[in-house]
This record gives sequence, structure tokens and C-alpha cells, in this order.
Amino acid sequence: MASQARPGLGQKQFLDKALLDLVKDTKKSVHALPQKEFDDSSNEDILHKALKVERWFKGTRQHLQFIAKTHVYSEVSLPQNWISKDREAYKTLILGSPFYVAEA
Amino acid sequence: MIEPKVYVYISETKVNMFYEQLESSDVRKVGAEYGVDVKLFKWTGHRDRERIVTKQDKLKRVTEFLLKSRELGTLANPLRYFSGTLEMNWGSLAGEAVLFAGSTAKEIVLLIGSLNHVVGAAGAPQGGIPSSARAGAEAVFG
Repeated sequence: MASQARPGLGQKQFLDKALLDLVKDTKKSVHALPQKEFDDSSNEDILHKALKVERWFKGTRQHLQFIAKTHVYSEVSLPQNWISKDREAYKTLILGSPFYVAEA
Repeated sequence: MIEPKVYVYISETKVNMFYEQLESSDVRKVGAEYGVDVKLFKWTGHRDRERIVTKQDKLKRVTEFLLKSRELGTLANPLRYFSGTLEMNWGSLAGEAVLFAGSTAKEIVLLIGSLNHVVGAAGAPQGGIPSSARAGAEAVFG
């Protein structure tokens, strides 16, 4: 699954689609969240879209501080091919919208 | 001592929404508790000046409220709101939205907002979302 969408050629198209889906899914979920765990397996999709976006998004790298509204907060298992011996198999995904972001 | 911040993003939508609610409750409180002080102030002959409330003033007020709120969590324990400090990649998405992405050993953080609220120039554009998503993005992420 994750290995099918590689950075490089087609990356922009991939991010276009992933972010569009992410926005739509988050809009649907926003009233029910935040919560720590999802029982509904349909939410798995949004988590993995978010994982891919985070993994391949390139931008200006800065040390930043922020306060944000929480939209999604969930433990998510990483795709098998992302896990190495120094990486854990699970992470907590937090998806939010900032009140502000400033240089730290 | 005041330490000015270099802001890269301020959501005026959220800040204004919170500020108006906080301010209206403050007016009632101040009117009830400090009415005498206001009279003394006028009696000494100072001229009242209408203070212009800037975006920064509003943000400061809202931030103070959030920092005192029991609903403000951390990266390790987000609540209704969360705050943190993190190395993040950020930039515009095809002129439609702005994304801040970062991770720690345990957490992955994605913050999405409207490009209209970026202070100054956004970072290098990468990826993007179609125009059709813009209204949805603004409705959700303000």
C-alpha cells in the first residue's frame, strides 16, 4: 500500500489526492473528535493518508511552536515497510488546525 | 519581560471568534467589578482615548485564555487543544492551504490551515490540493 505511492515522479498528484481526501475525511470526523482510539475501521484510511502526507511532504524546515485545535488523535500502526529496528511500529497521529504558529 | 514572537501563521478566523466571546464576558465582568475605578480615572482629567485592538492584541488575549484552559494538552496528551514545539516542515500547497508537518519518536503531527492566514511568504510550495477542496479546507481548518 505505502510502497505504491513513491516520492518523485507523480508525487504532486499523490499529495493532491491524499490531501483532498484528508480534508474531506477530517471534515466528516470533526464533530466526533478528539478521541484516543478508533473502533471504526473506516477511520484507518484517514490515518494512513496522513502518514503518507507527513512522510513525503517537503517544505521549509523550522523549529516552530504552536497552539492548535485537535481534530484527530489516534494511535496508528506504521506500514510494515516503514519500520526499521530503530523505529517503533506505532505512533500517535495528531491532526489539528493552528491558532498560531511561531518561530520557537 | 516581553519577548516578541516571529509568527508565521495566525488564524484570524479562530482568534476573532474566541476573542469576541472572551471580550464580551470581560466587559460584563469589568463593568461589575471596576466601575469605581473608571469614575476616578475620569475625575483626574485624563482624556479617554479609544484604543485600537490589533490582531496581536486579540491573539495575546486568546493565547492567555488557552494557556490557562484545562482543555489545553500537549503532544503526548492532546486534549481539545494542544500546544508544542517541534521541528516541522511547512509550506503552501499549490496556493490553496498551508501544511505544518513534524514528528517525534512517538508522535506525528499535521497542522493544516488556510494559506490566507500565513504571515509573510509561505515556504517552498510542494504538492497541492485542487481548488474544489479550498472551501472545504477553510470550513474545517479556518
